[in-house]
Amino acid sequence: MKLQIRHETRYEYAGTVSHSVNQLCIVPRDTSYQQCLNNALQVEPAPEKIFTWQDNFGNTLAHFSIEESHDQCVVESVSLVETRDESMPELPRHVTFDESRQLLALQFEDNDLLARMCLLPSQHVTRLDGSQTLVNELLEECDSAACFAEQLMTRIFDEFDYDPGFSTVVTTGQKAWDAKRGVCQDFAHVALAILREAGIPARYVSGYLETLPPPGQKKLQGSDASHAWFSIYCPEQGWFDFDPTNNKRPDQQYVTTAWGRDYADVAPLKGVVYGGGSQAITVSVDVNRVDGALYVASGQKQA
Amino acid sequence: MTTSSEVSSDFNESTDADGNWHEAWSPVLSALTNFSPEQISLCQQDLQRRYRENGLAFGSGIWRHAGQRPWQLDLMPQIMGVDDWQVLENGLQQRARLKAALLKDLYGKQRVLHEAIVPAQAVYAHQGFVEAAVGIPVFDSMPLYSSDVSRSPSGAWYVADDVCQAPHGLGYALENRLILSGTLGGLYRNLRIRRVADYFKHLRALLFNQVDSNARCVILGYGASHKYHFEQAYLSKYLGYTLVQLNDLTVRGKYVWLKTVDGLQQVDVIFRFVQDDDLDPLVGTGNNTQGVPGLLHSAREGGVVVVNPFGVSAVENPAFNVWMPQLCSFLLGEELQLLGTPTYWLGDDDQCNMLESRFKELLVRNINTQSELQDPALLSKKDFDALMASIKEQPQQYIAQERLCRSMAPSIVDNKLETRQLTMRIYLMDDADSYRAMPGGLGLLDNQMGGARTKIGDMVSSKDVWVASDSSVPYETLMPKNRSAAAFKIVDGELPSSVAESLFWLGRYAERVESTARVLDGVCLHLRADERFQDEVSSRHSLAALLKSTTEVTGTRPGFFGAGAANTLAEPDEELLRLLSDPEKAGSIPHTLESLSYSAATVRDRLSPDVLRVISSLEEHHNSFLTLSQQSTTLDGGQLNNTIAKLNDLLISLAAFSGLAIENMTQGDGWRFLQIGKRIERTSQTNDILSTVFSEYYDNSFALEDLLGVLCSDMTYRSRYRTLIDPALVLNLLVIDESNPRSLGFQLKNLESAIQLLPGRRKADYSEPALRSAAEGLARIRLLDPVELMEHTDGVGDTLNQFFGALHKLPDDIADALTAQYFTHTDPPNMLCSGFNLPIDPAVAR
Repeated sequence: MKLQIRHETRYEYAGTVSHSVNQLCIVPRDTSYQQCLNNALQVEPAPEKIFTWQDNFGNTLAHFSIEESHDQCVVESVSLVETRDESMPELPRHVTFDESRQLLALQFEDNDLLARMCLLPSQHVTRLDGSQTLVNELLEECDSAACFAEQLMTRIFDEFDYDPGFSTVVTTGQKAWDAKRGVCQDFAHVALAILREAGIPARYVSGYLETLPPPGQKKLQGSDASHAWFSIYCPEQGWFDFDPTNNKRPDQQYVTTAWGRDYADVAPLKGVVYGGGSQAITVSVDVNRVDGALYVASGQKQA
Repeated sequence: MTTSSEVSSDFNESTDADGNWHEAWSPVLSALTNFSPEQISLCQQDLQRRYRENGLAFGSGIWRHAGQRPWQLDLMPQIMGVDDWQVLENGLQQRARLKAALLKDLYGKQRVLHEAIVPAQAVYAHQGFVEAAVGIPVFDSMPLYSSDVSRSPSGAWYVADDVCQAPHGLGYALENRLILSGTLGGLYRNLRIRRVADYFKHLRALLFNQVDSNARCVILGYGASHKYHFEQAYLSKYLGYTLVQLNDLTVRGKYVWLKTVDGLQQVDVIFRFVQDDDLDPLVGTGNNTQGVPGLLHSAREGGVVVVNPFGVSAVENPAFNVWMPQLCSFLLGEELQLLGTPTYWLGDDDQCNMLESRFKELLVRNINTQSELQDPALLSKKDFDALMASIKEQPQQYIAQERLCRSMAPSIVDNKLETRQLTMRIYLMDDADSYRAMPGGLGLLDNQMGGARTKIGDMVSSKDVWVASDSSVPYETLMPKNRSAAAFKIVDGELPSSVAESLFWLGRYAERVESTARVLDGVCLHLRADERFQDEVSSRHSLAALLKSTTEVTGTRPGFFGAGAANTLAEPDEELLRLLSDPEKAGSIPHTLESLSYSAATVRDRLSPDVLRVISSLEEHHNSFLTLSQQSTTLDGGQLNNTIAKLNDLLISLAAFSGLAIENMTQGDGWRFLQIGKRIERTSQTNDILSTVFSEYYDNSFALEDLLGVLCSDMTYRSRYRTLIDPALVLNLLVIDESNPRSLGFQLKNLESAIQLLPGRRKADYSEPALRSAAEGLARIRLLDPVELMEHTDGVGDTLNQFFGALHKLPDDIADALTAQYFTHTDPPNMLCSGFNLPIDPAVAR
């Protein structure tokens, strides 16, 4: 399936910004189940140069600075991504916790090292107060990491309220856990904390999800959003993704942008601006299915 | 005081088991033990004088604030025999090569992880490991390496800590050598002791060799409030590099730029004393918002070289001690020469379980703290349980170490020979295939028992380390030839905006202290001069004029103004004593002296040793004013004389400062900002005093006489006019006369010409605001006709008020215009964060 993603972030400042330095992580990466066919990154006002490179996770990062005075800044990323249509890989429910642990102890490939990193607490993922009962319950119910992750996904989906008004970028996993509410990012952080507490290597995944309008209705422009979920590692099997916001294993409707230990490794846009006063930020995302249509680099659809 | 009997070790640095002196030590020991108590005492005083003069202190540059104390240097050096040093040097060279190879591997192929030489989690659990720097070649070199070493009871050296980010203490080590070799001059010259100056020459070359010639290298520090500021300023002066702070730098495109009064200037090499975490807010490990955004990007793109590179603290991780022998054979193919403290990584379950029963025998450390060892045996039950709980939760973050007693070194404490536990910090730098060690180091003495160590800031005293040579030592002065050039001038061409601003404020504060002291001196003299009290009303009025001037000069309204003025004017002692001695009162002498000291500390790398000596002496003045209010609550008799004496002493030091600033500083841009600050402040103060006195008391000849005294123009007046006090003539001398350095005309004329010489002023007209204001003031003064003015039979006061009122705002206008043009190059920073706005640390957003 080919998906076109347009991700626009618009910053409007009360005053004039004299200088800004920014880092982006919004270009979809290649994975074993998707390929980024093209990407166009546009910034207005145009920086002298947009630097891009790959970090050690394999994510594409970009850096730019704007040295002219401006009172708004628009970052637009348009990508065409082909996602694999094959059926979802079977979850390795037969591999017990102990077997997973013993296997990992003997493996030292790149993914195994990343898994070790994803067992440790990280900036946004620290042990939650009061999570012990849930961890014990799930360990009791399940024999395998895969089962644990699947059950955890469902528990979060059932027990947490999706509440966009609740979260800010600084919402901690603990706060979301205590209030039992939040957005995709919070659910992913809560899940990661519980998985790591149970000794299951788990990473944070950022990306997009194609949404379909109710039958008979036209899809609204900019109605999609950037998304986040989690992924667990099973030695020798690889990584398996789970989306606790939708209680669903990500399929070809999902596009992966980047992964890391938590949000901090893959924040879509971070930066420092000098001056400007208060900021208003508008984010709009469109994910559209395309079949055989022609695309040019700017991402404009050719009729 | 703790005596040497409280801690002991089997190993004494200077003696063998039978108590006989080691050969290398005997010349020093016999010389120093043969000194009479008087000689020792003289030497101690000499040391003290030398380090006070150098302003040597550990802690922030502000006297009253916690943390700062004079540097302690032991008169007894640590002596390293030729063979002993050789073993240590070889071992440290190997350790440096090993750490460098480890760094290269961790930020490169990570073979040590893939081949399981080191557990990956031990690396990942350390906050210094920067995932974002992996795979980028510029982050894998380690030009500088320092190490804390101690000697175990067996006599073998071992490494207690690796210091990889910046060579903290290097400046102190150098300063210790300069001071001790001066105090023990004869002894030092007669012994064959290896010199350390050579190391600094190589250090300069190393920094410059990072890039092509003509590189601009800066030393990056945290600023005057930081505990290591002294040594950063010292090194910057010694090496001849500009000392900058984080917000002096900005990244544009792929390059780093220094904000100077002359615009942005590109920086090629950053010799940094700032920790990894604080370098770049876009890469921080936490919510740290200080730093230079984009610095890591610039380094990655080859726009700048950071020494040591970002991410290097990963190899400071003490957990590596567990696997050093394996790492050494894996990475270097060699056998490890120098051991570290026996260490256990608690992230290993087996290791952790095995040690559980032994915890109280060991020392425990979180790998993300700098050299802080916790002693479980000394912890309360509650703290011990808390520690065990954190270990259980995040065992990867903890190591346990065996307790190792360190050797004892002889030390001279209060004229007596005692012994102290010794740690040495040794400095090495990259030198082709190996590392070059500085033949010397920073000896750190402590009394800590049980193998725990003190932090560098908490030690009892420091020691110079003398390394013996078996061949003759070429006579070499420690002062490089360029010292006089570097130390006595303001480096033109790259005057950072923040430094210009500090120099400007240094000038203002120096003048503010002076005018405060002069006006208070005037008050005290008036109070003492009772012979004039024949005309009580005039005298009372002239005192009121002085007291009100005092309030204006110190900016402490209401003071002698307002509703309570009748009382305070009648009983001025309490308010005066507060102005003289209350450090909490803004505008008081001690308070302004502290501000002066702070500004001086910020730019100490740009002040000559003479000026620094004067600045140091201000601390004594500061302390002596503090004692005034303890002695008496009134200002009379002895107290009055005492105060006048203190004020006069202070004025002499300030005169020395001003004189040296004229005679001893290159008259470049920095000097100009200092002078402009001084002139602006004097304009403002003089105008306030004149306006206070003339508005109400222009017909009171006592008041005018006091005024002439306070503005140092009484002699000129008498010699020039040989007449009774005439207000028109006083105005002429104090306002119009451009040859009188105390007059308003003189200030504005000099301001005008200094502003015209500032960088970036290419226009020939008066359109720029600072220049315009100065010219406006000067014109008003030149057009004033005092005789005509005084003939206004009524409303003289009002006319004068108008005149001084028009000048009142000028100094602030000029200061604001200069600030806008030269000092603030940036607007306050804000964090942008994917749709959310986080305020940045206000301390940085100045």
